[in-house]
Amino acid sequence: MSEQPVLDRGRMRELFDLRNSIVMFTGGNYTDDPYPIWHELREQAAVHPGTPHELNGIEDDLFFHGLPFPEWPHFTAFSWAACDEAYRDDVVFTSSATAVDPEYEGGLRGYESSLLTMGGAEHRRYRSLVQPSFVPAKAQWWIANWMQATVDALIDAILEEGRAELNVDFCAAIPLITITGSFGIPVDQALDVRETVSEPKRMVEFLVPIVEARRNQPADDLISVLVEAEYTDENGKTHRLSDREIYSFATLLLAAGSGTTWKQMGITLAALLQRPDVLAAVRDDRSLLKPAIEESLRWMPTDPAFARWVAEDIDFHGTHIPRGSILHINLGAANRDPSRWDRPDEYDIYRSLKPSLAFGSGPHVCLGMHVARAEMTTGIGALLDRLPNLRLDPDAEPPRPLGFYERGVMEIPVVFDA
Amino acid sequence: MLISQGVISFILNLFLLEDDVATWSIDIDRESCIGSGVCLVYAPNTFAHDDDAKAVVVDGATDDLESVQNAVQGCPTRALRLIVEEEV
Repeated sequence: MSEQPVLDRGRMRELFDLRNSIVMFTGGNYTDDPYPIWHELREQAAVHPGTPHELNGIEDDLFFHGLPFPEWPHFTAFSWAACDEAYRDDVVFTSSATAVDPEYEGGLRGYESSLLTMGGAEHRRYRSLVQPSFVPAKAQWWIANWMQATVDALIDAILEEGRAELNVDFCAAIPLITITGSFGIPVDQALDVRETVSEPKRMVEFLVPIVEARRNQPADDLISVLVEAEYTDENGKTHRLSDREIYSFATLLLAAGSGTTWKQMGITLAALLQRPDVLAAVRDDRSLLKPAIEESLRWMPTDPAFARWVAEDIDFHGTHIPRGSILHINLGAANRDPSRWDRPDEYDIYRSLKPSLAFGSGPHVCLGMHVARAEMTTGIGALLDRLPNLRLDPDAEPPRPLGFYERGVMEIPVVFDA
Repeated sequence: MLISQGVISFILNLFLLEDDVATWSIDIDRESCIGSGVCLVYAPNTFAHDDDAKAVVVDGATDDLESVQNAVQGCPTRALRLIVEEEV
């Protein structure tokens, strides 16, 4: 049995309710399948005027990356080629409003000087400080320090019950405890930290004593890497990250990493459980887990659209986009572009592996992609190892995807041989 | 290994689908490489990272051509280039 404390399930369900008020702002009540409309729109044109949710017929004012920005013209790219090019061209398609309009004061507050909004050389320099902790070779460091014990404890807690709800009670907990653990925050405070995800100032209160302690005495964790990281500027002068820069990076990491991987793991598990023959194949041949995860990322990425601020007038894949517009990259649609994938709507773990845009592309490509993959591999692998005859609960509602800008499945009710 | 202007060329033999062997080289632009690790996902037996989290080609790379092409195409900052040298 694991020594690790298990999170309070009731509190977990409140904090990770896909229908709660915060998720509603990103389209949490959307239950339709958006893909048929995306196919239709892509066939008409690679790029359309309008926001992704407007183009899908949603009339509510939704909030997400690049939204609402009501005074800016909006466009959305749907084809693989347009989405791929927009991600890669960070001169025309920039990552912040202020890169286009230095006077602009609206938009997403609190992340103005984070990795998310920086550009060019400044972004490269900051990213190079943290990238070494997020490379594939570091996956084992993350797994051994912050994932495996959590995964074991979560399974210990359900092992004898013969049934479980895996979306909140399993998938949601793993990324949260991985990230807070890497900050040096104990498991019994992880839910307190999660509560602050939309209030960066409260999050910083947790970080202040930890950053101070690591500056005095580094430990084997991510905050220690950040306090010790150095870069040399163009004048040859060496700098270290300020406390404020570390707080900014840590709050970004919690916001970007704790919700996404949870939902993607749920999507992957649900896709496998709804295809018992595929689940059995992955259980018997664990080398199939990687293609099962990669195919889930292509087929149903949890965050299907990100935005860029357009810095120059451009004729882009048949549509004129004026400077000062926002381009939404509908990577969900790009990942099912039939010019790149045959039978794009099928979840097929045997198709030949090709890069998708699930983690974005260009200089802002997802920093945490290998940590996310390690979380899904460790979590799903352990379920297959330890829960014999794992299958969907035949008496419960089957899992179905919901949400628009943040997609996931509500519940994954399963039974297994206890 | 050849080094010029921050670009490192690795010459390697890759197995084609028909089991023919051809000599290819991969140029890695260290300025453009951000160490995303995408190449290691698609061709894990060809690419690795050095201590600065920059991509390098391992000795005795064994991935097939399609995997290496995926790695090159998937590189988010186009830091990799695959060049056919000669057919053997």
